[in-house]
Amino acid sequence: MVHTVLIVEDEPDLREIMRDVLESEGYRVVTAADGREALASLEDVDSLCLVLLDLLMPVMDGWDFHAAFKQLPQAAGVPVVVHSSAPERAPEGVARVLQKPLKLDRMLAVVKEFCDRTDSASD
Amino acid sequence: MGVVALIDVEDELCAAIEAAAPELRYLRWTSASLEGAWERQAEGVGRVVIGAHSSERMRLAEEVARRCPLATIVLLAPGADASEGVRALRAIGAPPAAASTLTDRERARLAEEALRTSEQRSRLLIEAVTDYAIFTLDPGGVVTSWNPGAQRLKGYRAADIIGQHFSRFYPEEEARSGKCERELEIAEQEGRFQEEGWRLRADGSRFFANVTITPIRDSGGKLLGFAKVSRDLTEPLEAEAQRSRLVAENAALTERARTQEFQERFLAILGHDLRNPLAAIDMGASLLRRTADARTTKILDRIGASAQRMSRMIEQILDLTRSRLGGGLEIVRAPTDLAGALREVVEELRAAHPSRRIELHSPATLPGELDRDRLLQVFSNIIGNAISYGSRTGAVVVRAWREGGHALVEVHNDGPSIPAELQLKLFDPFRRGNRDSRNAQTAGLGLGLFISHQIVTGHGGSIRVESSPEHGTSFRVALPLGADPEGTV
Repeated sequence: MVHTVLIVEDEPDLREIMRDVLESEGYRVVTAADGREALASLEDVDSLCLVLLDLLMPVMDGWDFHAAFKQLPQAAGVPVVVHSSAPERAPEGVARVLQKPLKLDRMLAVVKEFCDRTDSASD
Repeated sequence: MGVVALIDVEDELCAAIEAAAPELRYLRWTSASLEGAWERQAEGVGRVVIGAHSSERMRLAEEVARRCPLATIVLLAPGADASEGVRALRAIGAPPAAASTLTDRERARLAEEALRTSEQRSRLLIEAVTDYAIFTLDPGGVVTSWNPGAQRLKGYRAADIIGQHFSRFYPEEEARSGKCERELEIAEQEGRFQEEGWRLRADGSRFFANVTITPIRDSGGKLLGFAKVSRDLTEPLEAEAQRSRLVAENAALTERARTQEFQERFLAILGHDLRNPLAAIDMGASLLRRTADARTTKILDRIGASAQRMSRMIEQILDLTRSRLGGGLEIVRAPTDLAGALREVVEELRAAHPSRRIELHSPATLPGELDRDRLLQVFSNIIGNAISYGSRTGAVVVRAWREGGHALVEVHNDGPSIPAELQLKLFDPFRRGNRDSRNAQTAGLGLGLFISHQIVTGHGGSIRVESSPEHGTSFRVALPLGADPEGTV
């Protein structure tokens, strides 16, 4: 089963390269430029295995998104990994915090850790 | 009016007077018969001569003056002879003149009184004025009068300054330049000299004065001297300065708020906006590297290395900005094993520089309350510098030990020493070793040691360097391990 990663990142180049990397690894990817877009996109997402969340974003930032996301039924059991230049300010309850600038290997390792685990758990 | 009344004058004297001025008509009276005589013959009496002076005759003269206000009255001295009587008569002149003489005298007396009153009023006015220094100078500039205002303003008492030249109120350089003489010259020629400038008090302090000098002349136009009026403008000047200070303080507050806003924005740009594109570059290069041939891989490696170096520089600028503008680097203490942190740094650097020898001599653990991430940054910088600037053939030796409540870490390398003048500035921002030793590894902003110093001092520790051609270069870092160094690590 193909799992979906939701990337929430306002920097378009970074967002698209993250998508390319993950898609090249066989993941399905949904992207959003801010928290509000991310919440809206959740309606069309199946089998979400991970949210990669930036914190400093316009319109709706990572903290507000995280607070809203936790209340949703789709959020149950879905880990949120924060990638931020201010990792010390990450909201409580997130699964992992990654320091920006994000390294490709590090990101892939984390995605594998959470999404492949979900995969094996569901097998 | 050509009638002269002779009262109580001896006959002989009467005859002599009459002979001396025969053009006049004479009446010979006595005080005893005066009442009747006056009523019959008073008309036309212009001059009255009263015989030898006595208190009775004074009363007589008053009586005559009352009855005949236009008459000129002469009282002869006791024992006066004829010639004196004639002189007295001549002195009072012709009857109309005699009448007017009395009037002129009266007028002169009144004028003198009026003048005295006016002078007194002026004197009282000048003495009452304390806000203005009012004093006079002779034509040469020597002080001739001094009011209380002058004493208050300039600090000299009248007794001390009258007789002194007024140049002593001027700053020395102005007095020497002939300014005082020029001012008097202008006042004399133009009728007035006025300026605002600095003057000296008796105690040597300065005040800013408005000065007016006016010449004083007699009725013939001859210069008698000068009147000088000075007013202290220092207080208005100080009020203006105070106002300017308040405006400046206000502007500074606004500027500080603007700077604060700018700092926050600047930190946000550095911390977030600049790093994101770098992450995209780095990640893009990494993605391409997976399928690249050897030549492309080499180029992608360069892209990746540049992105990383840029990222490090942004980190350093961010630290510098926090340190300089944002109130210092934040040190977050937590139970940390410093020995473990050193091992991590050394292993990382060994991996990055496989051709170099890096020795670590350390106890198994060095527990303390420290900011691990920040200290990784410090030792990565210092050991990295030892690799970059030290001898390529010699080892970089890292020693760590505990001394009392402190951990000491020494990083040593052989090779060219750090010049003495550079050692003094080594921990200043934007300093680094000489250009020849720069390469891709060392190219940076020269902020590494500055930031290391900030982190170490932020822990309450110290960092110092010793460098000589004989003994090589050693950096020694002393770090207090915290209240419970044996703690939970």
